[in-house]
Amino acid sequence: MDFRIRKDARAWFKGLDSVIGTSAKGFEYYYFCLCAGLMSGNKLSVAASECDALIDHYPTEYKAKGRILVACMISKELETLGIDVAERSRVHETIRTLVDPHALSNLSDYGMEQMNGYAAGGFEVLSEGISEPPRVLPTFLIEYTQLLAELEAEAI
Amino acid sequence: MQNHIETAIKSAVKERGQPADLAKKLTAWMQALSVGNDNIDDIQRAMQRVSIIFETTTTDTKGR
Amino acid sequence: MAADFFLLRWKSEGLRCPDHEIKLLESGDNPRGVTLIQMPNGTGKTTTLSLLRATLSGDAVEWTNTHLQSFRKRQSSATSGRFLVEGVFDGKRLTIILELDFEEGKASYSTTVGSGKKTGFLPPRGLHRFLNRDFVRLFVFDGEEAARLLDHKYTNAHDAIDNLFQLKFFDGIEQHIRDYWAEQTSQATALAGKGLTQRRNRVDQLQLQLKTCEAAYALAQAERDRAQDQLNKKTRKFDQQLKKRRNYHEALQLAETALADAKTVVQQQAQKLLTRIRDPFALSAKTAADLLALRANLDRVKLPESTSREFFDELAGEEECVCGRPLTQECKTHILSHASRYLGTEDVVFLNTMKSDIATMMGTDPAAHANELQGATRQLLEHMRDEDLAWTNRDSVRSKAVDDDPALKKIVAEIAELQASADKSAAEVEKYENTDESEENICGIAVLKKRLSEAERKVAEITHTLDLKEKRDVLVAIVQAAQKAARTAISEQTVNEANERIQTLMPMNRVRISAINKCLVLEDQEGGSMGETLSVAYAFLATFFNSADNRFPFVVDSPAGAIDLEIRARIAELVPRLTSQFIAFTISSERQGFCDHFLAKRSGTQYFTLFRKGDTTLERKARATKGSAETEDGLLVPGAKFFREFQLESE
Repeated sequence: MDFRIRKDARAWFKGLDSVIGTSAKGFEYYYFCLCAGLMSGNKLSVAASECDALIDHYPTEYKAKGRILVACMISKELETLGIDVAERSRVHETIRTLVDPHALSNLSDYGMEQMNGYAAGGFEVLSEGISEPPRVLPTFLIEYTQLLAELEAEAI
Repeated sequence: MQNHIETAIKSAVKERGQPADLAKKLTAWMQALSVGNDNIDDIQRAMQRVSIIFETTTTDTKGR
Repeated sequence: MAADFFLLRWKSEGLRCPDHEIKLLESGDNPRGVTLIQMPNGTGKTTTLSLLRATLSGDAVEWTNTHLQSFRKRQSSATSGRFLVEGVFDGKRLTIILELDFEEGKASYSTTVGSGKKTGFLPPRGLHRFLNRDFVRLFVFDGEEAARLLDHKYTNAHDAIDNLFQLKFFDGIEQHIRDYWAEQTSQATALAGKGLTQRRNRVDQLQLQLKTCEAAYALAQAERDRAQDQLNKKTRKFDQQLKKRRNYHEALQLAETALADAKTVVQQQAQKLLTRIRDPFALSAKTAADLLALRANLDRVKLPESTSREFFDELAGEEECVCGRPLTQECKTHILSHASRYLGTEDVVFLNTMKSDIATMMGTDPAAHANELQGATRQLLEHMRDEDLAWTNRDSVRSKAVDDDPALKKIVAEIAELQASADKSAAEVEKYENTDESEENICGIAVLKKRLSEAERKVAEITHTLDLKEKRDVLVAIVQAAQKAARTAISEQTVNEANERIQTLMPMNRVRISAINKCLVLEDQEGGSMGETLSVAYAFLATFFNSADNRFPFVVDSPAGAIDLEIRARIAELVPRLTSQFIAFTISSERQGFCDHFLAKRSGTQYFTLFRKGDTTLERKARATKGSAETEDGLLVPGAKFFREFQLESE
């Protein structure tokens, strides 16, 4: 199963197409949305027809961070479900349903759905917090880090 | 210059997973037009060629 | 397929221009390299060229009666006229005669190849693809159009390539594919007649909408490119003018260098920050702390287990447990049913690696990475402020220069206007590039195509022709892709050949063709003079009709037309070398700089002067010249002397 980015998110980021130099621009934008979603806890279910399929693996720039991203999602899911760490069997079950070590993304289909859900919800948060679609990379990065700082403050 | 046309057709056909026969038929049509053996405005002839071309094209949908 | 074609002669009778016959031979059947024909204004130069084009292209059968009548000889009772062109194609004589019947208002042709005369415009097979309106215009050429090859508002260089190299046939093939599908679906039975009609109407409506938008988009793009091009030119002019202001030159250079440096630093720092952002644990101290906590907690609850699911699967296959007790079937079933509670080996490996990644990448201080990211953000902000300052400084130097100089002020005002125009054009283009799929978007071409495809699918569904539709889509995609790829390859080859020709013939010429889009796109056009630029336009044309593949004559009307004297000499030097048969029509005012070049330097050139009767002195002089030919209304005089001395009082 693929990482999927909302079509409107893809369009929102298109001003950066000429300045983002990664091997997979779409995934870079997906990552921005995902982190905003994970930090805010905002998860949305979006129909496949409203999304563009990206890739089923982590591109070069993110290869080493793949397991960390999975860890972030496990952590968030446990927190969202209110599962205490001492509830070993529930922790075990949550991990079992989210992870598929055979997949290039290390995510099961269900796990990928959740990841995509956080990315979809994250775009809502992003586009509300940064009113204008980005055109200049340095400006966007400043606004993005400021937004994440606000989300962290809300979460604490 | 005709080579460019032939190469372009072959490449486009291959990229879309279509049989090499299809490229042959399209190239043959272009060749006939360019030397004057066929006339693009001859509808009857064109439909004959197009019918063969459609038959040579493959799709994923079966029995529809 | 190569084509070798040159003109032997043409003859005009009963038409608006004076009756005349021009022979273009050197000796035997060899064409003269250069022929100059001087025809004063009002003689019918334009008429002669139009007839030459029409005879060579077969175009006259499509003329309206009004247009046809415009070729009738004034104050003459002749009911018909005749224009004959004789040439040689691949060693065989070819004669095409255009007859204009002024009473019936009709044009007709006859063609003789070798000895066989046939009714109709029937050039030999190898030549017919060149003898059409679009290509003939390139070798029977209006010299004032040379500059227009460089302006996309006036020309489409792609069309020249499409016509010459048969790429237009791709359009015809695509249309036949679409027509075939339309015909097949119209024949198919519908499940429900009304449903089919509605769906078909939707397809028709969307097709029309798409066609309209595509046309408007093309225009909008051309306008945007034109506006941006003008803006760029004006901005460059401003920069050049500014640099000439010595007082500000040094200060400006310093300011621009500082600005460039500041921009570079910002870009570098932005990349650094982006690299840091790609570490999820750097985004916030809480995220990092949560990851460290997850790792610690997994350790605490002993996840993953040291024993994996496979251990229990294997155990269930044994006769004895690890403790030594015999395993009954009941025990085995129980073990297997609970084994799923345990993680598989790969799950264990993954979790252990994940925990290891957390430890390795993050260290023990959850705030460290977040602090680093914040530091990088602060630095970027500082550098951006520095860049802003550098901009302000640069702009202030420019403003000072502008305030002190009205000429510069004027250019700045013009730039502001052009910027507004460019922005407006860009917004118009964006309208057609809108990918928003809401119903309000009725211009976005990609969206319209998607809607059309869906509407066609619905038609196909109801008529059980989905398979045909898919085939049609694949075939159309193939034809379009092949056309685009062929055009690119041929354009590149043409550009290379033209540039090689320029290099050989004009090595000092700085200007080269970089690409062919709607017009010729030149490298370093700003650095080139008008003469250099025009030379390139002619070299491009010549690539079509004088190459390894093809040889055609080059007939040019007013090659020196509206051009400076210095450039005329350059064109005169260059153009005959581009082809094996060069024929130029000129008037006496164009002699200077252009014809003089031939008169002074080039032997072997053939000269004709054709003029209407009416000036008795000239007529006497003409009759006294050896070889002159007289008709009812005109005189044709050969020779350089008469050519050089010819001056009609009215010119």
